[in-house]
Parts: sequence; structure tokens; C-alpha cells
Amino acid sequence: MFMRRSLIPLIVLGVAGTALAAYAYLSSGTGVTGTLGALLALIGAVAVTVGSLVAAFARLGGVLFALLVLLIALGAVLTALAGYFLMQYVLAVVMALAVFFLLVAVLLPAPQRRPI
Amino acid sequence: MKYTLRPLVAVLFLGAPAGADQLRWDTFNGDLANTKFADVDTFTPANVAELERAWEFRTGDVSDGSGDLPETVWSATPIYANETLYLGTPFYRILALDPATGAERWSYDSQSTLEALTQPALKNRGVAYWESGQTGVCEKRVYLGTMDAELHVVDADTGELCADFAQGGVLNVNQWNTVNAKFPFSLLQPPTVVGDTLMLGWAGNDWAYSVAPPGNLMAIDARTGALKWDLSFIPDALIPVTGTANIWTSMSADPELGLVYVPVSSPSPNYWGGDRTDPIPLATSVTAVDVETGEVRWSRQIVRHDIWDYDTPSAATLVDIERDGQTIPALVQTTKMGFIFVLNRETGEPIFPIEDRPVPASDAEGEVASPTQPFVLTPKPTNDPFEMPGVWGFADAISFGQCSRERAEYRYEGIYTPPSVQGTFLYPGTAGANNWGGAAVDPRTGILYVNSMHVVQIIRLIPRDEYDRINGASGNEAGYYPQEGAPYGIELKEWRTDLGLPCWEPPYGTFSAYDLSTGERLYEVPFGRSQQWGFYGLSDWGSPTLGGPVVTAGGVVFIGASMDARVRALDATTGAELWSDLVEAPSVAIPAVYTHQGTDYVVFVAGGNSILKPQVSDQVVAYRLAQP
Repeated sequence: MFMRRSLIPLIVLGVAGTALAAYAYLSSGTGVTGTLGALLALIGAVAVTVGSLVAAFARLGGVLFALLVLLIALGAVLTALAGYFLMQYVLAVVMALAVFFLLVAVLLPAPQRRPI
Repeated sequence: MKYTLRPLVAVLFLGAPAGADQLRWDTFNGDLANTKFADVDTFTPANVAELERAWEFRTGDVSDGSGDLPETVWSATPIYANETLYLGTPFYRILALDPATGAERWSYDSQSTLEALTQPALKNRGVAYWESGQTGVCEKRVYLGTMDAELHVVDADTGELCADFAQGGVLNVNQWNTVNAKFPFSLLQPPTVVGDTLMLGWAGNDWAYSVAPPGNLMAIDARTGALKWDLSFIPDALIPVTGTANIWTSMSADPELGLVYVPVSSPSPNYWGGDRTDPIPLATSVTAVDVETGEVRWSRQIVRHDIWDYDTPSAATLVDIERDGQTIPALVQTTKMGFIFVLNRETGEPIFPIEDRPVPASDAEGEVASPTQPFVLTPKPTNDPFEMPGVWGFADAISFGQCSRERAEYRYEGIYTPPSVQGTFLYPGTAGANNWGGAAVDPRTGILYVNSMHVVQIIRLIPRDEYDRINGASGNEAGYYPQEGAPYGIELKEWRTDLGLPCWEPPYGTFSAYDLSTGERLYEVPFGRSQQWGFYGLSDWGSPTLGGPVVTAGGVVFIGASMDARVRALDATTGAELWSDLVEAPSVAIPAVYTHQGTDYVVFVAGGNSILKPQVSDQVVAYRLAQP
């Protein structure tokens, strides 16, 4: 099965962000329970997760892949900002890390296979 | 009521160890002087971060308005007396709790109608406590008022009605509502107990009618419910054309002087006074009344011909201050306008100058605004009376210039710009810079602590024929209101973009300290965090606030009040935040500090108020320092 292994950290962080955002939105005592802002953060985290799964497992051409990476980065940055302003700082850090690992994955050269 | 100011100060001078006795908190403001000072030094800036929840209690009396019941607005100060914690609820029940555990000891249900008869919500600001000093049934009593104008009295030990009070323990206060009786006398604020007398005002249906019941102060026998005397604040000649100028908030008293200090609200209709242009000297005033006779000793009108609903919103704070080598018995009145009036409480004379300044004329039909108003510039007002906050660039950009256009469109010429058909900026807004929470003072230092709100509203007078075509919804301190009988209805709203962002620059709320001997402001810091759609504002934006502070002998201020539903401890010296905890709704009440069985507690009611945001709760949380 085709897979971009360098995007695994991004998927993990997306799932973690989704769980954190869901907790913030659904659980009582978070200060943002049931609010529009927390819902937007949840949608953002889900979008980052889905986007990173597609990026990791789909054989996308250069332009499409670049566009998807851009959208994931934008989603993660906005979700991180939302997390910050929702005072869900762990969510903000997780999404910032997602941006970091996304940049690492796409900007650093892929490891060379050793010739057999 | 065991605390008056002077005995308290005397105790301090005698050097009694703080916390050695059971600290009581047996009035809405902690004591009759409304100092909100807790003589406990347990809580200090060094240790207050170690606060932990001692217990949490839910009353069950809460509604968000989505069901059959109106929403609840709960601003009760818990009362600690008789080694019990007493609460009133917005379903008009009395609860007696164990102060150490929060366990319910008894409850009393007034069976009051749960209808929003005069207010947009079911409101309650707690209960009052009285004791005779004797032992026996009903020698200690708890009093609860209801929206439908009944005063219920129960035994503080059992919760059973006191049969010797009025009709089997229930006083129908509406029996005295005989003039312009457009609505019942809603008893949302508990009575102020001075000796054996209950001082009772009432709340009405603001902004609805031009002619309304004339405001009055009723002195009621704490044991029998008999009316001792009654004082009206509207001149007889004007009663056919106006009303209110009532007392809807708490009062303070100096038993040694035999005076109760009465915060009188504005007359009706609130935003147009063309039918009441003759002077109403006691309206929007702080008035000193003889406790025994009901005679007015002195009165200081803080707004002349009030057409902004700038009610006197809180009990005056009584404190002796040192000035020019003299000890002056002072009274400090915080206001909706942000002015801090400091008066001699014996005479009503100002301690700091009050300047009469010219203010803008009205262009509304029939209106004659007062040409001058009293300004107090020392101590520095909590809100700038000369210039409203500027346009917030971010909101203006997001709204494609809506804020700038509206700033140019509506009228503003300083704090007392009259309401107009064109639309007038109201700053501070109708909920005021300061409201029922008032201020706290440390009587040892004469330092005053006060939170203030920086909110800009737009008030628009709507000609009657146009108003009658509008079917606008009305809410709590916002919406359309008829002012029936006046040539204008009103629309009142916060100055926001179509997306809901505030159009004015932060901060939205601040916390300040003043040296009352000099009038100097020691600091002003942004307080709390604003919140919209769940997103919090930056810490230096502050938050609008409702509810007041408590200051303790250890140098810590406790306060809820902010819209982010957090309760906080501040360093009294700097205003810096030392500790906070998230509760379920904004704590728009005054916290209570008490010592029970040797342990000091601070307790907050988190009830919420839609003026801040639509979030309600029935939560009561008590804190103490972590146990070793």
C-alpha cells in the first residue's frame, strides 16, 4: 500500500487535536463547552486529520499535493490560533507541532534508499 | 448585625488576632458599612495560589430560558451567620448549608410564582438575616423577597415560617403599592437590617411605562412585619406624571449616627423626561435617612434630571478617612457614570470637590436636559467622562468601516449627551461603570478597590408612531422598550459590528485602587477576560464586570464578576492576578469570606447574568487553603 511515512506524525497529531477539541467542545468545565469557537476548532482539527490521511495515502500529483499541504497547514495554523484564544493551550501546541511536522515532511529531502 | 465600622476599627486597634473569632458575613455586603472587608489574614499573596475547593453545591434552581421557565439571574451573596450559610435562589427558595461541607441542612420554598413579572428573568440577590439576641423560636430569622412582592420570614434554625410576622410569616408588600400600580413591588434585593428594622425597597419594570409606582423606602418591624414609616422619593405634585426613583439595590447604615444611606434610582420614563422637567431632588441620589423617623437628614443628587438611567446602583461604602490630620466620617458612592463621590456621611458635604459643568442640550421633543451636571474628577473617575473609547481598528477593518461610519453618525458630546432620535452613544452603558457590586475598602488603610465596566451602547429614541410599527424583541438591558405614555419608545443596543464584535477599543473592564485620603488612584489594571463564541480576549483587554470585590486583611482581593466565568484572587497592592478558578457561569455576586470552626473560607455563587453573556448556573463553590 502506498504511504508517505513522513506524514505519520501529522496524522497522530491530527487525531490528538481532534480528541482535544472534542473534549473542549463536549465536556463540561472547559470554559468553552458547546460554544461556536470550540466547534470551529473541532472542525479544524478533523479537517487536518482527514487532510493528512489523504496526503499520506493518496497518490496525488505535484500540484494537488502542494495544494493539499497548503490547506492542511492553513487549517492547522487556524486551529492552533483557535486553541490559543479558547485557552485550550494543549490543542494549540499540538496544532503548532502539526504545522512543524508538516513542514519537515515536505521541505526536507526524502531519505535516499541504499542501493541493493 | 454585629459589625459596624467603628467597633471593627476599634477591634483592629486593640490588636485582636485576626481570625480569632468567628468572622461573620451577615449582610449582602458583608457588613452594614459595606466595606466588604474580611478581617482574616490567612489568605496572603504568598499562599493564595494554594486555594482548593472545599466543597461545591448545586441548588437545582436554574433555567436557561429554553423551557417553560424564564432564564435565571442569580447574584446572591451567601450569608454566614448562626454558624450556617444561607442562600436565596432565583426560584425563591431559602437554603441553609453546612459552612464546612456544603451539605444542605434545610430548605424553604416560598412557592412563589416563577414568572418574569417585572424583570426579563427570575432574579435573586440573596437573603437577609436578623437575630434578637434572645433564644427561642424565630429569635434568629432569615428573610427572602419574591418577584411577586412577598417577604417570607423563617426561623434560621429550622426553616419554619415565623408565625408572628405579618400573615403567618409572609408579608404582602404589594398592599402598599397603591399609586400608579402598573407592576408589583418585586423584592429581588434582600432587605437591609438595621437594628430591629428592615429597610426595604423594590424593583420594577424599567423602561416600560412613563407613569409608574413612585419609589419609596419602607421601614418594617423585623419581628412583626408592621410598617414603621414610609418615605417617598417623588414630590406629590409629580406623582401623576412619573414614578420609580426607587431603591432596587442594597443600602448601608451607620447605627451610631442612626442613619441609613439610600441609593435612589432614576425616575420614569428612564430616557425621556419631558413630563417631569420640574426638579425631583431625591431621584438618582444618595440620601441619608433617619432610621427611627424616616426623615431625610441630607441628600446629594448625583445626576440632575436623569435621562440616562444612571441609577445610584449600590450601597455607599462607609469608612473613616484621615485627611489633613483629621478623621473624617466618610461615605463613598460608586456610580454608573464612573464618578466616585466621597462625602462626609454626617453632613453630605463633599470631601473632594464636586464641579458643576455645562453639559449638552437635548434636541428631543419636549425634553429640557439639565444645563449642568455634577462632575467629580478627584478621585479620578473609573471611566473617562469626556471622551468615549475610540474605534477599534480591528473591528472596523473586519466590518469594512461600519464602526467608523457609526461613530460619525451618532451623537456624542461627553458623558451627559442626551438620548436622541438620531441615536446617542451611551458611555458608560446603562449597566454602568459600576453596578450593584459597589466597592470594597480596607478600613485600616483607607484604600478603596473597585471594578468597572467599559461598555459603549447606542440609545435611540423612536417616535411613538414608528415605535408602534416595530415589534422588536427585548432582552436584559438591550432591545426595544416602549416607555408607554412618552412620545418616544427606545432602542438600546451595544455598539457592535454586524458580526458581533465590539466597535470600541479595549479595555472592556478594569480594576482600580484609590487612596481615599488623597484621592490618588494607586493603580488601574485590566481585569478578567472577555469572551465571545467561546474565544477569549487578550488579558490586557479586560472584561465587563458585574458583582463586586472583597478585600481581606492578608492583602488579597477576591472577586468573580468577569464574563469569562472565573473567580480570582488579586494582589491588593498591585491588582495582579494571583489565582483563578473556572466556574460554570460568571460569578456576578459578591463573594463571602467567613471563618467557621477555625477555618477561613471564601465562597462564590456562580449564577450568571445575560448582561454579560447567556450562561447560567446554580453552582456554589467554597474554597480554603490546602489542608496540611
